Amino acid sequence: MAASTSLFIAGAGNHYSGEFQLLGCFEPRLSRRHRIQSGWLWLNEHQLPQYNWLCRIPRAIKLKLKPSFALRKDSDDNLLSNVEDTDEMFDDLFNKYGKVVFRRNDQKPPSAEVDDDAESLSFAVAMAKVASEVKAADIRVLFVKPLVYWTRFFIIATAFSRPQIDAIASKMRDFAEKKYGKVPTGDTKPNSWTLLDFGDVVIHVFLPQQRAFYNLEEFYGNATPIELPFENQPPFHS
Amino acid sequence: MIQSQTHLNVADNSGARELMCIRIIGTSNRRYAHIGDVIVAVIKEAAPNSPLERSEVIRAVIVRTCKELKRDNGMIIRYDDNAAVVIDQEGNPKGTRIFGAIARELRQLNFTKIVSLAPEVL
Repeated sequence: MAASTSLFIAGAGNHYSGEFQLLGCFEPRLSRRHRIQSGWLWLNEHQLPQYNWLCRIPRAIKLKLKPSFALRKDSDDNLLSNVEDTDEMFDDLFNKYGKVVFRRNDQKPPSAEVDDDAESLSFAVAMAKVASEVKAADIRVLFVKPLVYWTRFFIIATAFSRPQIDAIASKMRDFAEKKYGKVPTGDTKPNSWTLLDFGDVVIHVFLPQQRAFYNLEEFYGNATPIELPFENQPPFHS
Repeated sequence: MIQSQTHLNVADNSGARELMCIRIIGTSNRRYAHIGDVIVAVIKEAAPNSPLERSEVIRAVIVRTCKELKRDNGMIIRYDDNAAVVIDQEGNPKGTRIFGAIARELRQLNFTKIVSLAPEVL
């Protein structure tokens, strides 16, 4: 009985204190044990939810009590067992995942994005340089990532004949495979609009008529043009 | 599900307005074509003063279908119309701009030119 009164003093909710009162009445030995276990410490812990303490009652004892107090116990026991489960469950989840339970795996931190952009930019500039070595004209590098999700850079260049397109495309393929280990998809044969798709960098090589016809620069007019380091200097190679 | 005799809209500014599929290119005896397949089609309706004319036989790539397109991640895309883009024998589009949304599967099927002319890629 002592235990039950102490609980009332502690200001426990009626629900749980009632439950404990029953326990205390039913088995003196049990109440004594609880007093020994937690004693007056309980009073100090009254900030904590009361069911934490009640959950420590071994399940066997609770079950033993059940038949004699069927009316009250049913609801209490259900509630208690639910609380016990969810509490443990949440503790486990919290230990496992911290505050965020679920996070997508494919998201990259902003720094990695910037690194990827820089890597693609260096690759694009290198490819533009290759194109200028084979005398492609009017080379433009556009940063199209803000406009389309599917690539980062466009390189648009003009060649004046199909053999030249072939030379530009094959040289770019070789260079990319040797230096960067990238293999393009897209056109394999020289075409009036030859496209090399390296994933992050897409290269368009046009004949002059096709370039004027499709007019990609106008379509991607809002893209940021990238300054090329070699454009101002005339090519040295013959 | 495009088969012979299916009428399709044209999703570019090539000048054709309506196509009718007459053959699916690829394997023989194939019943249906889906997004990214090349078909042989005849122009049933064309805009006046355009380079393409009625009853001309052309090749086209299907870019939209009313039949659902399923992706591995569970996404399903279903368009309101069947539409195709007119291409030449080399695979270059005959128009200079594409209209409407197209699916990103076209890029994997080596139609990056069409994707790069499109205003919206799903």
